[in-house]
Amino acid sequence: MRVTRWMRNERGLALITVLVITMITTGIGIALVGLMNTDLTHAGVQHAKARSFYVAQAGLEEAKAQVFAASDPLTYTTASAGVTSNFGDGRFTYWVDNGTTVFCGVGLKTLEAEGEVGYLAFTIRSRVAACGIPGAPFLTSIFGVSLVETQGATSHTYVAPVRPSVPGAPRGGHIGSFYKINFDSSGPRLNSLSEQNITMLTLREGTIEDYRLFGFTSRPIYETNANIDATPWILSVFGDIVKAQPTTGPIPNPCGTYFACVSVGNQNQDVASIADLRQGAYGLPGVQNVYMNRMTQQVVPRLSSVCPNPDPMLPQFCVDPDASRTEAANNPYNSDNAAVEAAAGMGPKTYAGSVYTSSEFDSLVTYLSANCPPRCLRGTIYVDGSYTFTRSVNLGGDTGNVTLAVRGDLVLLSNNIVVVNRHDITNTDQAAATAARRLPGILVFGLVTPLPRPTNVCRGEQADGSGRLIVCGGSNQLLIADGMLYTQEGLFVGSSGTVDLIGALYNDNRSGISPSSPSFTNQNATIVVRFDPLSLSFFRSGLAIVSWQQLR
Amino acid sequence: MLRRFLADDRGYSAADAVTGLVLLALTIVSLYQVMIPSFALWRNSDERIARQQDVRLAIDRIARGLHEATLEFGRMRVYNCTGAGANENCSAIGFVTTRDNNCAGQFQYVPGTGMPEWRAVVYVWRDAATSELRWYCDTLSTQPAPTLPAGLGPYTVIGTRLTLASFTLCNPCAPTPVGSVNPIAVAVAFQEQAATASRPTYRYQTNFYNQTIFLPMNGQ
Repeated sequence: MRVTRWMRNERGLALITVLVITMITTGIGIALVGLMNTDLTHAGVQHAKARSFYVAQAGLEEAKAQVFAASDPLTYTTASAGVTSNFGDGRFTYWVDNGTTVFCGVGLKTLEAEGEVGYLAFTIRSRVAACGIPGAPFLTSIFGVSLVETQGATSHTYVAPVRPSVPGAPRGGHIGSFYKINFDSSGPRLNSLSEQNITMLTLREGTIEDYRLFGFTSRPIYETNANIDATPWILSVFGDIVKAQPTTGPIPNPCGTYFACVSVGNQNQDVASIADLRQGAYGLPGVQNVYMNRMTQQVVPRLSSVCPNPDPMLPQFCVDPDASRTEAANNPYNSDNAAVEAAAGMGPKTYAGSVYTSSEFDSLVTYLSANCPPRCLRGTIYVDGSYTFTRSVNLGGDTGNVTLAVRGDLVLLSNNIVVVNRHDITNTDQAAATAARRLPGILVFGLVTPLPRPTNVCRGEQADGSGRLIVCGGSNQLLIADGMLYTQEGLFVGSSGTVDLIGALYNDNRSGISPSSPSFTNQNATIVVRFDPLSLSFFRSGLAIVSWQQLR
Repeated sequence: MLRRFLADDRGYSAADAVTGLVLLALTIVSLYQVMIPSFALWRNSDERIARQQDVRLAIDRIARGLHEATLEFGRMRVYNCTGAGANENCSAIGFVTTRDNNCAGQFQYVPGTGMPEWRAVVYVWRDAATSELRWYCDTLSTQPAPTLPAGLGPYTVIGTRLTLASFTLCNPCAPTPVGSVNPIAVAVAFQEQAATASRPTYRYQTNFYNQTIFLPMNGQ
């Protein structure tokens, strides 16, 4: 009876149907979700990995900012545990000179940063590292705040690396300007390595083929077509032309560009590329003997003549003549220098320590020209006034440590003179060599107020004590120096003169940025700069990154 | 009692059962039709994730190399370009690496300088015949060849089913990368074709495009 009634009863049938359908759709749904889950997990991990990379990169930037802000970037380090900070949805830890994986080398800063991002139950990590030159706000071997110019068919400028192991390792230095880089005609040669004939250079090591400066053991093969980089591709061994703009904003130039321009002749057409420059574009003559890697635009800080620099990121990027004078006055080698003074027959001095008037320094030079080495000056030497070299002299010996600071103009006047100021940069003790490489070589500070009536020096160059280094040129005239060579009012090298520098050149400008006040002029002379990035540590401000790698 | 039960025609008959099953089938089919957009959405999402994953994997495999490379002239070249400008929309790229051991070892420095020491050249190119993205480490050179060398191998396949691989040395690089002889970055774009589409293609997205701009960090 009950069974019969149950059989007749149709209630619940809909429920069964719904249950079946629900089970089927649930099964399909679960299968689909399962299929997608693996893909989503993989995609999520990839996303987390990408985020951790950028978090690590943020850590590296923070490390750089800390070195920039440090009162002494050369000595700034972090604890071995590093510095950890939350960033985005993860966190980074950075180390300066205390990381665990990478060591860049003596005198360099090693930056490491690790980024961490959580995903599900995992922590995804990335790690990056960089090497930098502490105290160097940027990397150029020849920099002119105002006009940088090469003039004449016999002007040779070489911007080489220091002791390259093979061509391109490392490559040559950069040339930069805030204003304009000008080639007066198709004649000037820049890194033109024995292009037509073997070119011999007389430098500190004797007479050598110019291509050896870049690590070549034989004359490179050249391609005359500027659009073709010949085999072996030599352009990659050279540095860049840097069209710079100060961090404070563009400086007006006659080309009307926001960055410095590159020009040929008296035209104000900005040349866009090395190929255009060499082959001649826009109706300009081709400067076929110019060999640089590329042209880049960079925003770089401008050196301040006020200390501290108004730029809060680079407070030390300034030059202070008084600081050099104080260093000279408190020179730890004052007693050694006093012995040289006595041997030179110098009477009572005007100033204490190693601070000299121009005439006092001249009597020292007279003595040193015959006696150094072995009896040489040491440490910072400050000359209070302009000075003109008229005889050959070695100031500190071939392994010296002299920094020559001049409050006025510095002139090499005569033919057949060789002025040497070398440092102990090849010392087998790496720490000693590093210290020597950081030592500035020649600092030409101008008078506080330049003279109202400039005097003619040579080749149209005039001296008014504004801080100009004038190498007049002439047969067998040679200036050999190590370290930073700074001028407050520019460098001029005249016909047949030679400058042999291992370090870097920074030529400021105090009388206005214009073609009439060039920062760097090579007028049918030979200028060889073997770029040592460590020499830029002289500024003790900032950090120039030279390599970057991803560790994981 | 059993006889009465058997004689009783109340309850489910065959017709009822058939009708019920047909109705159930119609219901399921109706539900399936309703679910098709959802299914398409799932399929689309799944394909997108899978393809993006493929493309991202291919990009990831060259990301470190490109980041660690340099834009110095002669150290990075692109080949087989079809773009309007120089170095634009190229199907192959060659760039230097500092890593030894078949381009996968330690980062190498020029001794005492902290600067990268280039040890080899990495070539990445799309093979049109197989739609594969291929990778090859040339340890005999430190400068990419002026033209893409033929017969590079043995190579590693780092991507499949690629309908497009585009490398542009760009300046500017955003919003659209424009090829330049003075590049500031490398734009890499890959497009992958989905393997199968069980439904007409208008229901599913079958081509997946991914573009990334890389900034080589060395050689500044």
